[in-house]
Amino acid sequence: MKAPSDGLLLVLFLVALGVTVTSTLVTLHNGGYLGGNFLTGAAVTTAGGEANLTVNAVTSITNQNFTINFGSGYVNASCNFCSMDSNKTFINYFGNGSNTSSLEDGRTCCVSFTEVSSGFLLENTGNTNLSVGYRCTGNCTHSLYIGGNLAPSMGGLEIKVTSNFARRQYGETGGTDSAESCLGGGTLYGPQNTNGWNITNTSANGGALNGAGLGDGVYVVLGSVGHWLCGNSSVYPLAADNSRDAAVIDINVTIPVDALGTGVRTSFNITFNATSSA
Amino acid sequence: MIETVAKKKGVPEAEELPAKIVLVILILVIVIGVFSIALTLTSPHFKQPEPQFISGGEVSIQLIPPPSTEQQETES
Repeated sequence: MKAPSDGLLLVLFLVALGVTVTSTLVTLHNGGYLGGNFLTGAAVTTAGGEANLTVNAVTSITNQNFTINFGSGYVNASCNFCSMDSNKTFINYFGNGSNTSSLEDGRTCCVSFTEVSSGFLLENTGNTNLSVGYRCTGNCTHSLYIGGNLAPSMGGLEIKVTSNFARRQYGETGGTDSAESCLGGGTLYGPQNTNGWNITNTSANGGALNGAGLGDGVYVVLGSVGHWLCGNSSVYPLAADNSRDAAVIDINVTIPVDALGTGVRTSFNITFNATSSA
Repeated sequence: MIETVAKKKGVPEAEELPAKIVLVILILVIVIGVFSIALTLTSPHFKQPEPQFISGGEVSIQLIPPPSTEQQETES
């Protein structure tokens, strides 16, 4: 076999050098040493020494309410629509054009349905900041869920998110929030420069907001496409502090008087996802 | 000039490493380096954080046919 030429050896040597340098840089970057903190954990005094304690980051979110059941009923014949909310509100859309909103007592258009007073209560129960999103499966559109003809301005089947500081739903493991949650996204939360809870209706991450809810939320039409509720895939504004770590997801459904009363139970399922940098 | 002087003084020439061995060593270095990079890049530190999913729950309703007009009048 002919001996390799000097030129070939030189090229291979340069390749080997390049690979070695790249490997070193990748390893250093992976270890977080390129920020200049090569000696993290080193003692700074010879007198007392230093004790190191590692606290593992735990990503955990819990839901304290697993069912929103509006029960069984029908729309009063004197009404065009009846609307129900998981925050205990009923709206009567009378045939004569008047609309009234009420709690359980005095509702007229939603006959024999169940009063629902609790939405899905989400709480950051880990020790690291999170972003939160949701997905819907099943009959996630008004036409699939209820059917019938809606007025042009009606969403029909809607979802909203409200910080529990505003919503005040009981059941948080760490006590009810005393401050707004999901703050601090600020300019980091997509291009909208918003903070607080949001439902990005146009796209899952960034993009124009279309009827988004902020703070004590605005209803957005539910769809089978999931959306972010707080933060996104790279920004995690929901803190783990017990004083500001929760929100409530409420559902609103509007039933037209011409919706078919089949007697068949219909449903959809919401699944939430929590992401952290840990 | 230096070579000439060295030869005159009988200084022995340094033995050259056979080129084939150098070639094998270089190839090994490259393979090990590439393996090291691949191993580092596939470590969990480089992976995107995976979301944790929890079931929010079910939202259900049952729409029943309204009673007939006669029934409603009777009830009222």
